[in-house]
Amino acid sequence: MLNLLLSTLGMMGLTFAIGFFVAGIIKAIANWADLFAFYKLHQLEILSLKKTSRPLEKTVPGFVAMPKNDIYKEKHRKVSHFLNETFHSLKPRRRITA
Amino acid sequence: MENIDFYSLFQGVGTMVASGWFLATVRVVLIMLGFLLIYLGRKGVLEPMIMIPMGLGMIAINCGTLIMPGGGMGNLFLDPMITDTDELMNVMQIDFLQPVYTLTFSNGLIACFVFMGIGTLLDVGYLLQRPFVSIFLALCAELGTFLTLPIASSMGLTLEESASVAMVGGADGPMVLFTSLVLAKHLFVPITVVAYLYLGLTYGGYPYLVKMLVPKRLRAIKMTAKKAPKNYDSKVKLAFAVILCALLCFLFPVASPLFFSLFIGVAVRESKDSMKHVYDFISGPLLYGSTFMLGLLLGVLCDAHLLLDAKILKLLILSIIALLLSGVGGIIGGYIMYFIKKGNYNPVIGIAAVSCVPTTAKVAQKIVSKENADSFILSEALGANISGVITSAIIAGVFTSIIPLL
Repeated sequence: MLNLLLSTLGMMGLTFAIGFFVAGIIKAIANWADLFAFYKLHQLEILSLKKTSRPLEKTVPGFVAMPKNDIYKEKHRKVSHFLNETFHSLKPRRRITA
Repeated sequence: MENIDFYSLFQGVGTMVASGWFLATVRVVLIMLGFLLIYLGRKGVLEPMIMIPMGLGMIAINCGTLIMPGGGMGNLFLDPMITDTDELMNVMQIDFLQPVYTLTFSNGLIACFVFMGIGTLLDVGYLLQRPFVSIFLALCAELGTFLTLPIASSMGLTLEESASVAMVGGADGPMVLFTSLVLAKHLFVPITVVAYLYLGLTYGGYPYLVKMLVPKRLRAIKMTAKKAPKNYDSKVKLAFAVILCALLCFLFPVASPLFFSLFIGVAVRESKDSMKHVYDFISGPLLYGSTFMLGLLLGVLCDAHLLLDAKILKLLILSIIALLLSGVGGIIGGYIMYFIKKGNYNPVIGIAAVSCVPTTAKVAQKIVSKENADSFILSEALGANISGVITSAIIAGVFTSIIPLL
């Protein structure tokens, strides 16, 4: 009887382990879906940024295209500049309203 | 004319007299039970799709017993105990339900058809939203399955028989059918009949269990969501079905027909734009036709001769213990979530983790709506409900793989 109880406990443990493993996989699928949706949402912005950088290459004489890494750095710099600007412009207003 | 015997002319009555008082009493009880099932099914207390054909089948088989050419008692419906292939071929030409029984019921095909149909009803989006909570509740709601195993063994059943009857705690008809077919074929008929009979009772019995264990104040809890629920694309749900089917089949090949059937249903549902006719067929004629035939066969299998097994009383007791304990386990899981979420969780959802899809989820919502019309828990309940099917399938796989080794 004790053996059976131990085996039952073992099977219960195994079921819990498999259950949580399956839950982990389901969570991974859900996260992957969220990530994919996030990428799809921002893909348009990335494309539009790419489009804005292309005319420069064509119109400005002697324009040298930056390597890919530099493009991303530039984009990052632009975004952070935009965020800083927004943040600083909002801060005083908040104080005023407070 | 003088030689015409009344009992030979009306053999239903004749066999009743010839079978002795005990068997005759059991036949009468089963006929009365058939009437009761039809009445309760019609009233909506029990699941009508199973109970009405089952009740009528019970009445017909116990009234329609006759003297066979060999002199023994039998019927013209089916004989589930035949193993000899030559004899089976003869019987198939006489008993009208024998082909349906042999080719769909005794090999588990009908369970797979029902599972395909259930798959087309499942929106796995609810499970994708909160997989850990749903699976946790479903695992708690398997308490009866695990506790019934040692209880049944201590009552004198073999391990295989104990595991088969313990599966009733999973509250999933096809799983019980499949496990008993693999582990205890000799008890396949009574276990399946008892299981389906009790599964019908969950609809009427669980609300009382919930009311007993969860006070009115907690039943009326309205949960507030911090984040808006996400809507997953059908591509994601299809990917979910494919990955999980591959994984579970890989882990438990023994239960792979059931996994395959469930997830093919989900896959068809999520591809219904391009498979509309297949979706309509599986979710309509296949599901309802299989459920109807299942009910009919279960009724016809309630033959007094067949059910008079010495173990039937034990099976009746053990099955109800398994279902009760699973219900209690589900509610305990609900309470654990209530404490983890600091009161922002309705413990009634736990009962939906007992996987009787979608009955228990509907029961949970009905109970909660009665106490608080503004409280809507169906999405959480369905998530737990779907997880219940997955955990039952996992346990079926664990039992069929490990029990023969013990």
